[in-house]
Amino acid sequence: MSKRLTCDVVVIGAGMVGAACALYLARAGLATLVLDRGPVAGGTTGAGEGNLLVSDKEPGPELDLALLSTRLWYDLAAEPGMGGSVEFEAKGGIVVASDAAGMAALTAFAAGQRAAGVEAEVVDAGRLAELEPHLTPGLAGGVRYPQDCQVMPSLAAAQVVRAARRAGAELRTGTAVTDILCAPDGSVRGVRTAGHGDIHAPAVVNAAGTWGAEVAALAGVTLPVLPRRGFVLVTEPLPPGTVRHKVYAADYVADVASGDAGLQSSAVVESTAAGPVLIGASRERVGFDRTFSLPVVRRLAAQATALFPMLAGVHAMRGYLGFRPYMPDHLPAVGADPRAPGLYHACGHEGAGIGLAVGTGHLIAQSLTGRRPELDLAPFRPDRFEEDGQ
Amino acid sequence: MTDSAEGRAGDVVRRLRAGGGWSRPAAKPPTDTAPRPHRGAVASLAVVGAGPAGLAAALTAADQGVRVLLLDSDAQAGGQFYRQPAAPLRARRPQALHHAWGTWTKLRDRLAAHVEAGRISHLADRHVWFVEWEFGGGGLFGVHALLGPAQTGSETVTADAVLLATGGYEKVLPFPGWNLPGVLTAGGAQAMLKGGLVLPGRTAVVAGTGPLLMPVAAGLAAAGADVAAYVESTHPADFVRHAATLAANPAKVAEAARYAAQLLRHKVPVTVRHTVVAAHGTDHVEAVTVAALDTHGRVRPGTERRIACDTLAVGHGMLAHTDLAESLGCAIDADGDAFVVTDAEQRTDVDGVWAAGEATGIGGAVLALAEGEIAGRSIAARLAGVEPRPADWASAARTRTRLRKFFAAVDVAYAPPAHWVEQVTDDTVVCRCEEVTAAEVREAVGELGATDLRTVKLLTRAGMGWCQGRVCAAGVAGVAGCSVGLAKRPFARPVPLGVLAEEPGG
Repeated sequence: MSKRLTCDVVVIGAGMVGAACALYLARAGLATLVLDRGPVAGGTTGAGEGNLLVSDKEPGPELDLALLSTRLWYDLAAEPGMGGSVEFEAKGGIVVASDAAGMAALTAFAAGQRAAGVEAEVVDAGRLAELEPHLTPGLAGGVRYPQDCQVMPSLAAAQVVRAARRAGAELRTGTAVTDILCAPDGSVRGVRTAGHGDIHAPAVVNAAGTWGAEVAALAGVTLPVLPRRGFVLVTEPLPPGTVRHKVYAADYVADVASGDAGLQSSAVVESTAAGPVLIGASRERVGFDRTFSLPVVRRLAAQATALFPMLAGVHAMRGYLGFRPYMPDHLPAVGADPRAPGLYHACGHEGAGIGLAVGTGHLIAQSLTGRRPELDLAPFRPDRFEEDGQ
Repeated sequence: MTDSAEGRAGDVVRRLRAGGGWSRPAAKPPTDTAPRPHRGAVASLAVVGAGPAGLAAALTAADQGVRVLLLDSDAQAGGQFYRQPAAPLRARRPQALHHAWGTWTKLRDRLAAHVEAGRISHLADRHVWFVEWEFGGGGLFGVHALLGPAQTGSETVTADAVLLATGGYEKVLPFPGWNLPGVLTAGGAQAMLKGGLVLPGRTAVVAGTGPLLMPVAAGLAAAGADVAAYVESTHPADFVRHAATLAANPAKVAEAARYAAQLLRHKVPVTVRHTVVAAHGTDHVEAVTVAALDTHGRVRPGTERRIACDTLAVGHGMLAHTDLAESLGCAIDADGDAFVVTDAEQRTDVDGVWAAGEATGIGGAVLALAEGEIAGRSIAARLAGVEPRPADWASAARTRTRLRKFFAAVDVAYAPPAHWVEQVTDDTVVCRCEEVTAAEVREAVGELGATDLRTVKLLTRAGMGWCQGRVCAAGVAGVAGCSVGLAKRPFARPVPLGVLAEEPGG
């Protein structure tokens, strides 16, 4: 048996959210240990697109978290060596409407967002063609969101973990947490691992993403995180400027907000720093089914080529699937769990985890160090569903 | 393009332009083992690959009355092994480049007879990119293929059963200079000889490990190249340990002896337990450095010597094409080099899908023929709803047993040098499509927390380019110190989005 390990806080999960938690915790001076049963970015982080979006969020707590996160992402990207190494791009998003009715709804939605602090510029069809020359002609117009950004998610998680290590955090990959150690009063005392024995810590952060419900269960509490499957198509590299923003149709916002288990899809088309264009985003609640579904990716391809007809001749090189951590009210669980003192949750961000990660990490570090969190965490309370059920 | 029966087959579905509003339930995972319903009077089989395994299966199944759709990416049948000179070259003696010409002419004639009789549709120039289980929900497989050399259009054929005879391709491990023009795979050199009747260069070095190198060196020498060295990293003595296996395969021993005699006749210098540590040149390979290996597979310092050449043909064995099987959900054994898992009848674990030849493990043309024949028999019986009788393929089964044992021994004997990774300098490009260096891969593992090939890919882009890691996966995994694992390439080749976006008609 190795010698007894102790630290101030154990972060379970080395995806983007775990990485950000580790960074802010380590910088707050806590002895932080990050554990993951796989590699860095091995779960949903490595299967996403790397969106840092405000455009798809209606006014409310998630938008507040997104705006806080956007500010923190800009700060992080400005740190020496960070922005380039995570392929941070402040390229902006464009939401398009195909007809007048859609345009009216989109304009009203944007007005609400503007009131909540979002930069949103209504653009007519002519301006749309200037912003995205390859968009299909005949669209009614759109809204440009200059605050929307992008990172390469796996690199972002890996580089943020690296920055956390430089701030004193420790990373152990390939280390599964098999149990959460609790005192008789239910408070957390550390974790049991496969391979590294027991690790004692007064605080444990559940940043296990889509698998967050399993980690919560180890501490005897329920957290309703469910997988919501998504496919992404990746094209061959295209010349810079072919697709300039993150572009999607207005239906996307409705799909994100949908609670339906059936398939929703609305193509989200965006270039990457490396050249390929990414095409998402389907949403299905089919458990952890990893079967590649040709019909779903066909639909994405049809929607993407409808937006950008020139993509019809561009090759899809590969496709991948991932599982977004879905919560019934589409809000993540962020903060202390009163049912298990010492347990903190930072999961359930659905498809927005890369963006929301930094705000989440910042708030978790504030909570854990006894400071007043910058945002009201009440909407994100991990035990909120338990009350609903009573 | 052959003038095949593609137009008249009822189960060839031409793509139609389709409007929006299309929706189809997601494919079910392939766990349902219910018998596949037959459509029409004659059960149909789609064979992917017209090399030895695919041909043998197609002919055997057609002999039994199965309607066969034989799809292949080449204009002519034969695969890599029976690769033919392109017709416009009008080769007078193509058999000079082949040692199994008699077998091939028999297969070719049987194929022609079946095509003539309408039992086999030879669908040439079809680049299959996906095989879909439960296509359209009707209990049929949909085989989606890009058409012709341009690969812009697509076609879907449907069938009751599928045989995957997708063959193999060469494994090449990286070393400094391996990406210089003039460095090609041993199989590539052979394909140029067989298919193009051209000499890849004037002064060649053939290097690496595996049974393919010897015929390549002999073929190059016979075609008039100056083979400056034949460098094999293992030693014949390593193989003699499998004396019983050799004795059981006199044909293989005779084959090797014939190549050895050719090398001798052409005065090709043969060097064993040596390896190429680097290729040199600026715009083109000009020389290679060769060094001796110790018994542990480590380069012996001070043994390096330089050999001038303008061509380096290099190979480290063969890998199976498993992409189509993997996306169908077939079990893949990926503990070592990946292959499709099959049972005694060449069935995969997905109902209605068989596999034969190199896709099920590397073993050469004769083994592929045996496996194809067994698969053809099994498919014909099962499509007719009867239990197959192994007695019908007893001879092929014996050949299969003997050759699998032989190639298992080959696999052990012809392993690349155990410490080849030590020769990969930090500045060596390991992924050629994305120009990723060994240093970047090492950083992803050492600094960024990658512990598997997928994460290395995500953090470095190694394996994200046009070849999707088919060329570099073994090399990148070696440098990263992890296993290759499952490939997870849903498309067997890049597909235009316009093709994906269209609904197949029918």
